[in-house]
Amino acid sequence: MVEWELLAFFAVMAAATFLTRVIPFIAMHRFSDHPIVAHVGAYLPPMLMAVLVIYGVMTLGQHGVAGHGLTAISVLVTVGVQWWSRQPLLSIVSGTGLYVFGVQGLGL
Amino acid sequence: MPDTSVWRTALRDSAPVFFGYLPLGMAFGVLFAGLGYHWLYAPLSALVIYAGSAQFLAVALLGAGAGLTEAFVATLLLNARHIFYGLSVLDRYPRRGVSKWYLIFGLTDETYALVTAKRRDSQRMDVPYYVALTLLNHGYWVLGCGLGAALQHLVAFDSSGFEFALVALFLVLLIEQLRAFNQPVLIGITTIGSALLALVLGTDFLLVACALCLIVVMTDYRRRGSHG
Repeated sequence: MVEWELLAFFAVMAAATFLTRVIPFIAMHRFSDHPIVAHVGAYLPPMLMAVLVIYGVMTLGQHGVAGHGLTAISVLVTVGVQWWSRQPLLSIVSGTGLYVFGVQGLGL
Repeated sequence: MPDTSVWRTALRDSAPVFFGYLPLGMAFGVLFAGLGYHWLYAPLSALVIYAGSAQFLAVALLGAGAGLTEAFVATLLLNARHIFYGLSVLDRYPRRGVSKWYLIFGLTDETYALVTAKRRDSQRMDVPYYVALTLLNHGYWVLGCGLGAALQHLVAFDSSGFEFALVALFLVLLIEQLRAFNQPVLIGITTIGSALLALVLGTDFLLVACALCLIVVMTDYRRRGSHG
């Protein structure tokens, strides 16, 4: 059986999501050669990456001293390994491995 | 069609997204299956909506029996941050063609992070890489959501903690951007400012922080302009 109401729900949410992604491309259509576009393209991404780091840490939903401590140590390990090795996979596997061990092995 | 070396690079670069999207998608799939619909609707929602937080919201809204208008408005508000992503990849993405629309459709937090981390070549070289990245990430997400919903009773694998892979990805890209961009003070202030905002506003800080960043960047542009 096809669930038409569910499909309508998906269609509406898909349309709303696409709208949030396409608005700047439509609004700035005529200005894509303007120097401000290049300026925003150079400066905004590194700033938003900092914002996304904080957002990501928040969505982990850790509580208490032990939970925050585990998060902080995993963040420091990821940053440290990336800083010295410059190998993204190694840094991500080290940080994530430590965090998973803390959550599953130590029950934090 | 992108050649094999582009795919190989995209596979390597998107590996952390795989490790983040798979457990997150499976968590969504398991939740969705709890609503009682056929399991195939879970990967379908991943295919057509392709927004993690919006899909989790969908489970809550469907469970509460919300209407379509409510779903539309709630999704717009939840995903409003995407507007800032589009603004900063305007000159990276192609001006026309199927790839333009697919790339815009697939502009998630993680795809945005990987796309803006790419050292820029010619658009002709870069666009196939962006397309490969977007297709791979989209694929991981559909796979995760499908597996979670299909195997909800069989999944014995404990994936808790793997969500850190996405945080680690953002951290790594932040460090690489810091090296390439060489503006440690600006990045430091943004990080501390975001953390403070997050303490006050909770996860709602995201949209406010994105808007503040754009205001800072625009003000800086005008200030430079007025000094020649």
